[in-house]
Amino acid sequence: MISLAEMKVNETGVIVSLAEGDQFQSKMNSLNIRIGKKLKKVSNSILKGPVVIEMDNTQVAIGFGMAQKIFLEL
Amino acid sequence: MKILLMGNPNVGKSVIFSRLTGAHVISSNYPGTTIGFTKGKIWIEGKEAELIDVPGIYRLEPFSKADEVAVKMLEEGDLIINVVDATNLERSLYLTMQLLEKGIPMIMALNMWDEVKHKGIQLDLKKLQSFFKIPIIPTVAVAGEGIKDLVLRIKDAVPYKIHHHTDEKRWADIGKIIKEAQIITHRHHTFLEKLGDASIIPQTGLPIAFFILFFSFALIRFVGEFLIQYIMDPFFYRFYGPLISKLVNIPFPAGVMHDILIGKSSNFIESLGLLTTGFYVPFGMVLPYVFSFYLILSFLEDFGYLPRLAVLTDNLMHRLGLHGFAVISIILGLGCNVPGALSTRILETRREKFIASTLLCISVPCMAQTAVIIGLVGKYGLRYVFLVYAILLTIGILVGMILDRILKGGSPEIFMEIPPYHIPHFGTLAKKLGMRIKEFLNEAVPLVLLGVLLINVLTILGFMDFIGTIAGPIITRIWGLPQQVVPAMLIGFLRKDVAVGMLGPLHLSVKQLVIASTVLTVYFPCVATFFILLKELGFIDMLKASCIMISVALLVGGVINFLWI
Repeated sequence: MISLAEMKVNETGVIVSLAEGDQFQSKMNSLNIRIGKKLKKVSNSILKGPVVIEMDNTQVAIGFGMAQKIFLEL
Repeated sequence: MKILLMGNPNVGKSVIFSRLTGAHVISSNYPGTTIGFTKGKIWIEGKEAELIDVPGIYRLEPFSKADEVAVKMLEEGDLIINVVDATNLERSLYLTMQLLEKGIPMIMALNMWDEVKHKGIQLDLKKLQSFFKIPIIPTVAVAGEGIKDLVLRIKDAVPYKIHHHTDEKRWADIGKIIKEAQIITHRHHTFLEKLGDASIIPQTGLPIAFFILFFSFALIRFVGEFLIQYIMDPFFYRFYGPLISKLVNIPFPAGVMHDILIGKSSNFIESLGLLTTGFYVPFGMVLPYVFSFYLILSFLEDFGYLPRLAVLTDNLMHRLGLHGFAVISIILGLGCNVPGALSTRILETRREKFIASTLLCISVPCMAQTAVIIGLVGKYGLRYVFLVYAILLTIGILVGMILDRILKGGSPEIFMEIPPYHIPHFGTLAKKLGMRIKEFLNEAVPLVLLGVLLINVLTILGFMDFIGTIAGPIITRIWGLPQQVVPAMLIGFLRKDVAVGMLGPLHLSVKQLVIASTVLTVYFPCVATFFILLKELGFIDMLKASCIMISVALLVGGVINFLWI
């Protein structure tokens, strides 16, 4: 299990857990980022900038700090 | 009856709104274009109904001010047109579930229907229909397809109330629906998708961003100057000028009225006449640049480039206490500070809004001001125009970094959907451009005329000399500018373009022009922006922001004056 921040570009993984915090979870949920969803990392961050993922035909930019709180199984 | 147009951000609600009402509203290819709400009228079965374009939301628990507006609107709605992105059904259905739980009659517009096939998606409308017992109408809003059906079916909207569910139950239900009604087949990336990826990965994205920004500014200047040189100047100098001076000379060969109307000089900037400078500034100088700026901006917006720029600049923006989305406010601000200031609403915290608004006022000159700066300073070489911009950019970065240090709290991280690239729809683009130009003319022309009239009246009354004498010594000593610049600063509160134009007759040196152009940007926002910010930030924060602006203006003007030998 690794965090989205550690994942390499073009790797695909399934979300297995999201860090605690109602606000964080509900925010992720609003864009359909939930446990069990499969996603691909499109872009890595430079200097702790945002990462970009692709899921169900949509791309989402996620801040580095949030990406550290999303855990996946490759 | 009140009808609400609701749905996720960037699904095309505003396009449907303008199709339904014939009204013109701004829509773009990025989430958050609609931040307030727009109302319009439509006719259903011979009865008038109110249609409200609600800002896009993902769920009914608000994250920002724009979200709050949307949730509040819900209390007043009698009927919902739920706009759903057909290419992203699963996510859109979450809000649909929440809305159904409210028990308000609903119909669903399955928008971007044309894209579904391209994306390798198969949707079973009948199955979808059997899950939701409401009318579902496929639409392609940008092309106007399905809009008629949508109107016809409004009368069939029924409340289909479902029980209040937990998050998990909602997603489970959605999962079931998706499994039965949607099949996604794998396909290769299209060229636009590859381009989309390339422009967001930093290694390729940053060079692309530099290229796009550089090319955009070059194009804006090229188109702007072309229009001025081949259309506006010939019209004003060969046709309008001689005509107007003949007409005015008949009743007023000389005297006060003559001077107020057409001034003493034959140069349109220097005459400061109501009918000469008053029309030349908005139409002859600014309009060409406003046109070319919005032409390029509208294209970039509808193409979907701006969110990618937001991601790429997120890092830098964080150092200024903001996040990437603020770059969109800044770019809108380069056109006009008013939409720039309004767009800060999408920022989540008060701290971010404060920093973004302050930086917008301090270091983002609007296109009207830029046009006049290019006209005046550009005569001595474009490098001086660049110098003004470089100074403003440096100030912006420094002030941002300082504010980020001083103000408590951090900046929230970026979390936004990146829309796919779309080739813009020509009609929509032209309409948007037309709307923005109309907005500019409606706002600018009366204020410019008022400004020019005020200059004349106040000069005749001796007021301009009076405040010049009072404030002059400070300005002369710190900025090295003549005291006649004081009236320009006064008028700058009304319109920045007129203010910069007032520098024309003073015959300043390049150094003085650079200093004056810079401080006229920094010292205070124009009246339109000021009142928007007063409303957005509140009195106390606006007072703080104003103090920062004035101090920075004093400081920066002084620094340039003493460093430039």
